[in-house]
Amino acid sequence: MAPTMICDIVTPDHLLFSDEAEFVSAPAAGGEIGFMYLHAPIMSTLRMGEIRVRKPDAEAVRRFAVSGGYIEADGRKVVVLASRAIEVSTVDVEISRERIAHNEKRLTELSADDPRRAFCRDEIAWQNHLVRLAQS
Amino acid sequence: MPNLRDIKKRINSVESTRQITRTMEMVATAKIRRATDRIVAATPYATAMVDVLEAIAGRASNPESPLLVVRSPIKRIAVVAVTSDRGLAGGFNSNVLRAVDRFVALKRGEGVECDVIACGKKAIAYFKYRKIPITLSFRDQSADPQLSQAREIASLIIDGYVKERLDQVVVFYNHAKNVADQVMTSEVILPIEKVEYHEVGEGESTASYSDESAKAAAAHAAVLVEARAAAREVSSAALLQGDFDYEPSATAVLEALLPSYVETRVYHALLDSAAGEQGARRKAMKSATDNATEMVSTLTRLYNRARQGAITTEITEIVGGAAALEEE
Repeated sequence: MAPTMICDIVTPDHLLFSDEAEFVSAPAAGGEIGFMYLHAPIMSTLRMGEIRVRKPDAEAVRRFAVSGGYIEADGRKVVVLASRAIEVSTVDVEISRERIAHNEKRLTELSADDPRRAFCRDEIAWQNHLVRLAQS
Repeated sequence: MPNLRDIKKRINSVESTRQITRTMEMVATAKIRRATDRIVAATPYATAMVDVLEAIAGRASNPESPLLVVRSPIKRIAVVAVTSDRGLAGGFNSNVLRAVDRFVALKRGEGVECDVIACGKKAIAYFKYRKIPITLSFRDQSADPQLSQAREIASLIIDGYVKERLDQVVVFYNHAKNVADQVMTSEVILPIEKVEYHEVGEGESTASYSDESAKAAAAHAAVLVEARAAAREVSSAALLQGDFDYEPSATAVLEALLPSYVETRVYHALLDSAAGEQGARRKAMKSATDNATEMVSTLTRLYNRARQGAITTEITEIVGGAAALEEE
């Protein structure tokens, strides 16, 4: 069995995941990065994408959708501070679709230079991302 | 001599009021717990964020993020007023609203324009009544602040600041110093002058009353402090040591994190205010209950005196009547 690291995934409102992991892959700024025990210390911003965590005993890989924030790894520990993160298996496609529809409606209601448009577009992109991951 | 039945009626009415205030006090106590739980849950992110920003700030060379630029002269300020949706919380809302009102009046006097962002029905009603225009408002979320609300506020102010429509952003909210005390706080969140994490619920609990619920809440505050220490350990263990590779660069990482930092600050103000609201309501309802109890005992004394008086009068009349009969 390969040596393991601690992996924490933290979002602004709670600690989403904290456990041992054998392998973690994350969508870093320059492309996908895979982390294993004793990876060189690195700190990178995150793009919208998917984090995969393989635990030592489990066959299954846990998948998390993330967007924004950063990842920091020192070889023994991987810490992800994501602006948005959710485990893919808990995504409710129906709710995501509702959120998309709701924000698209808001976009049509807001004037062209309203600063809240950016917020709505972010939300739509994020929910679309969730739907895509949930269905893949 | 007051009417016996009228006094009885008043006693009953005060007693039922006391029942209501006592219930509200207990409900608020339960909600304090929920609110502090949320703060505990949000703490790891906030501390890790501050730690990391502090760590990178030393390495980043000349960050150029517009969020760090201090502008002068200031021409337009956004004021975020965080209040509650419901009243009956003592001076909780009026403290914030009065401070905002004074601030806006002062700045307008200096020729600075102010945009008001109102969180909570109380703030909306206040500014509407005073005909102060509201840029953005939120209702029905004060007891249960959502991250999306903080995100929306943050995206609005960041956009305004970057496009130079705003020159400063100030947040007014009640900081829950401990379960019994709320302190009106105003913070400049843009431009970002220094990175800090505003401790929530820290310090000795100076609860002025020592009933069971206050003790429970104080114990909860202690848990909160511990959770924060643990969270700090989690994040700092991985940090600071060794040379990190920054991707794309230390400066770029710093600049990418600043908007999230603003968002975190706003979210924390909302959470802090939510905890403060319940604390303030509990205190207000506690004193209302105490006043009602005092009033009931005063009225009961009055009632008994009146009853005794009536009996005495009756006896005197009977004795007088009997004496008159004997004399015949």
